[in-house]
Amino acid sequence: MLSDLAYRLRSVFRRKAVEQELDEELRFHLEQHAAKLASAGMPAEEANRLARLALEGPEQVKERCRDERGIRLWEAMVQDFWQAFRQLKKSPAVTITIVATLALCIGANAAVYSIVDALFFRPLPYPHPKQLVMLVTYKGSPELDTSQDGFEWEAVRDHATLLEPAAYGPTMGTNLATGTSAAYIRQQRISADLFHVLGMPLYRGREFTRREDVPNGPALAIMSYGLWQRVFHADPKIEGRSVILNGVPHTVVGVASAGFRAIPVSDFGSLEQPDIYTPIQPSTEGEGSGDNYGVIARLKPGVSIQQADAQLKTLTREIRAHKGPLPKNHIEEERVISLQSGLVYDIRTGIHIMWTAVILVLVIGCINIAGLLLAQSGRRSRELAMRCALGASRFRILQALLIESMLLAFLGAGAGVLLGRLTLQQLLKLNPDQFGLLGGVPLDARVLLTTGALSFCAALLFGFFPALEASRVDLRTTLGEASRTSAGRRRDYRRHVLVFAEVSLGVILITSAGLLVQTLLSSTSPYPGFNTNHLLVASASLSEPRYAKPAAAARLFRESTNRIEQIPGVQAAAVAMSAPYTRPLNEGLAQVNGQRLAGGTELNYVTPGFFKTLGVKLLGGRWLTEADYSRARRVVLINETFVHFYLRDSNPVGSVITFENQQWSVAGVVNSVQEDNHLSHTVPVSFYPEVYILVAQFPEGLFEMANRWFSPVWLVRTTREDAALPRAMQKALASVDPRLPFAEFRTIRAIRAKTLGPQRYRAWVVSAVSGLAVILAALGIYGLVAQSVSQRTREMGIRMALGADVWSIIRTCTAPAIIVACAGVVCGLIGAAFAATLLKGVVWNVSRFDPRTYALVGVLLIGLAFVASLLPALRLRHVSPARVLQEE
Amino acid sequence: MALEPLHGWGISERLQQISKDVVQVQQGSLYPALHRLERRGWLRPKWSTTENNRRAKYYEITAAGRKQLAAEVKSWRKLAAAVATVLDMA
Repeated sequence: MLSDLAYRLRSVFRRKAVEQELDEELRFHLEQHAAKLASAGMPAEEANRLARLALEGPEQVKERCRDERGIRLWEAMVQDFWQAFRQLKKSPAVTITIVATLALCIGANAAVYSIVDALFFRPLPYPHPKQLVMLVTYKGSPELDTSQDGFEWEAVRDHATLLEPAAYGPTMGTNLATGTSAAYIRQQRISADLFHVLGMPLYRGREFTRREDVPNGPALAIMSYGLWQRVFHADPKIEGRSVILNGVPHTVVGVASAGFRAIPVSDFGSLEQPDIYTPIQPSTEGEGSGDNYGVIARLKPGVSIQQADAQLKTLTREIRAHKGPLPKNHIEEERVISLQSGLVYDIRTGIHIMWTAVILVLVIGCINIAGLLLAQSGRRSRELAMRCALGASRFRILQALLIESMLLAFLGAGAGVLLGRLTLQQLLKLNPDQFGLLGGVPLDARVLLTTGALSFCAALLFGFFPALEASRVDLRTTLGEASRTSAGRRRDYRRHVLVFAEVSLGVILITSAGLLVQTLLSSTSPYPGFNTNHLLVASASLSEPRYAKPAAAARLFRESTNRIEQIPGVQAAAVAMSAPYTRPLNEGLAQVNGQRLAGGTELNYVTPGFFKTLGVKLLGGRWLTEADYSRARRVVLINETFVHFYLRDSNPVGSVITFENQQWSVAGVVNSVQEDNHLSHTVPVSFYPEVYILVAQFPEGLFEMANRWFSPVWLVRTTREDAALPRAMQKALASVDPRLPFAEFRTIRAIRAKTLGPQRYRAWVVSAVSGLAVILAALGIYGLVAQSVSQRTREMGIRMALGADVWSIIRTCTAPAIIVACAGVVCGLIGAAFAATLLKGVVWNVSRFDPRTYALVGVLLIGLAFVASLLPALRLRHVSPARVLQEE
Repeated sequence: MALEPLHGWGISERLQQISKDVVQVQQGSLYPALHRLERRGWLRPKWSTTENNRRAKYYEITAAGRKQLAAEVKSWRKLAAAVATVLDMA
């Protein structure tokens, strides 16, 4: 067995030596035989001839000895490889087209698959990630709610015996006092045991205990490794030290390990890694009365997700008993899903769409290449027939052709991976937050392996059928045809099917792209309700005891905006709880004129200059002014959407709005401003009913709570871009309160870009990919007609000589392709209507069956089919009947 | 070859000699057969010089080759005896 392998390996790698030995061995034999004959008196020449005859031809013997080496298949493949290489070099145009097509298709796949892999398949950076689950609420529809309220968390924490649960809140800005000034850092509130559940022991110190993690429990902190190094210079006596967060002393109990990555909370707050952790101290009131906690858990050993679900089902009933009965027709059930799918739950649809799009374009690319190869095999049938005549088996020819395809696929894959790297960088730039959910998105060996496998499948897909077709050579007719190239009805029919398929798929893609682009445009193009030019936004955390009272904050806001307005180039400055395009504070229990608001309303505290700074228009009533601070009567402005939703039938000005047991009267109506959608995972930005309240009149309790979740924003309108503005603003703020740092300076357009990131990348990717698909489809049509034209030049020449009109001949050549393309368009549009179901949830403001989009795509593609088929057909105008007949 | 290493020419000469020209081994079939036996590991090739000081490829039987030979001889004898019996009966 081993000697056999050694023999074969030697034959492969020491081929020259083995050949030489064989030659020497046979030569020795011939010499000996000849010498023997010569010694019997035969002439030397005759002796040599007889010796060769006796050996039955040295070359034939050599060939038979080579057969004994057992490496025939290998040698044939090497031979075919070089043959394929020469073949590809012989028709560079086709080769370049195929490799470029593959490079684009595989590049797109490599880039998108990197993201898919990072989000869906790469194990989470925690030990035994398969045991980690996320608690979700099933509410009847297929959508799951991934956030939980205080009742749900406490029930799971205390009674779900099959789970080891932990909770966390969003990451918020907070002020860390450092000497006389303060630094803006990111803080996440977490429950006891979170590190234990994730399986990530602390670098030093200990976690919060269950007893500490209760309302009004002690103020404790766990630092990130980075903060401990950066700000505290790796102080070895950090445990027990007191740090001041938002003006409140916290005792440090531990430091997280260097590689720890916190659970990202994608829909609210910042996705950046927290610098410090404090106890969440959950309750069922205030924050805990709404869905504001994320809950994860580790399944106890041997527990399955089904068992955990069963236990949670009974728990749900107990939770309900606490909260009061569900409204009619509502379902509510606590469940667990794997943590991995929980983390990507909200963005999965977008990723699936991208993934489907790039796979579809790869299929189209393969169909196109199959068409090209089929056309080529028609041209090569003589060569292949010759090889058959010389004794090549059908299997051997099939093998040679498939090796050609493999070579093409791997050339394409190589170029594709390079292209994929560039594409990936662009994709990550478009939407850095979501793609980097739990670390980077590398294009590494995992992705390369998948891409390699994909290319292999692609090669089989586009190479197999043309090869099968080509290897079915009819020797007699092919060789007998002499110089004529055959039109081959069968082959034509196959190419038509291929063109039909790629046009259909292309139409599906471009229709989807059209819907996504329209969604993006409709989200950005209409007037967002304010002027987006030169508006800089910065936030500062006010969750400090000294700003617990709205009056204190109002004073800070007034003084700081006054100072900022004195900076040269600044036109106006204002402060609000939340900026446009970000998530506002939702109040679900408000009433207007004694009526409960069915859909709730947004609340926003503002300074009087807010509307002027943004460029919001007054539609009725009057503005709010500083003078309203001192008046006894509380007044608010409402927006147009509020009127549209709740006050359509009455005069809005003077209406009474009630919340937090206080009453406000409506002083005026302003136009609506676009905000981040947070109520459902649908429209990215929209207009919501909103109530604007002056800071000084904002309810005290709500103010303190709101500032825990929101860092208020300073909005500054300037005449031009100014890189020095952030520093000047910081100075202006420091002159009012030196311990209050600004953070997250961004233009309002950057905020919009971030909010619309998912829409933009979806529209961008699907458009780019469908553009590629359409070009491929056009190429396919072009190739089909070009082939038919070149095959029929002779026939056309004769027809013309007999008096046929050149246009009627062009019609004959193009008609089949155009008919096939039109059939493809019709079929594709029907397919697109089905595919639109996948787009449910990412297409808004435009119907998924929007007739305009469908009609436009249809007209565009049919127009393209005309152009693509006429271009090669027009060559027929220059056919000279005389020349053709002469050649005949 | 069971006795001593031989080169291809020697084998073909010896075969002719021993079988007294009854068995005509085609010279063209000899070398592929030798190469096959070599690949199976039953023969070991060895380059050395002939009495005329000429380099030649000698084949030497290996232990595995001997075992195989014994088995083949045994099965051949069995077959030959069976054939003889059948012929005698006729």
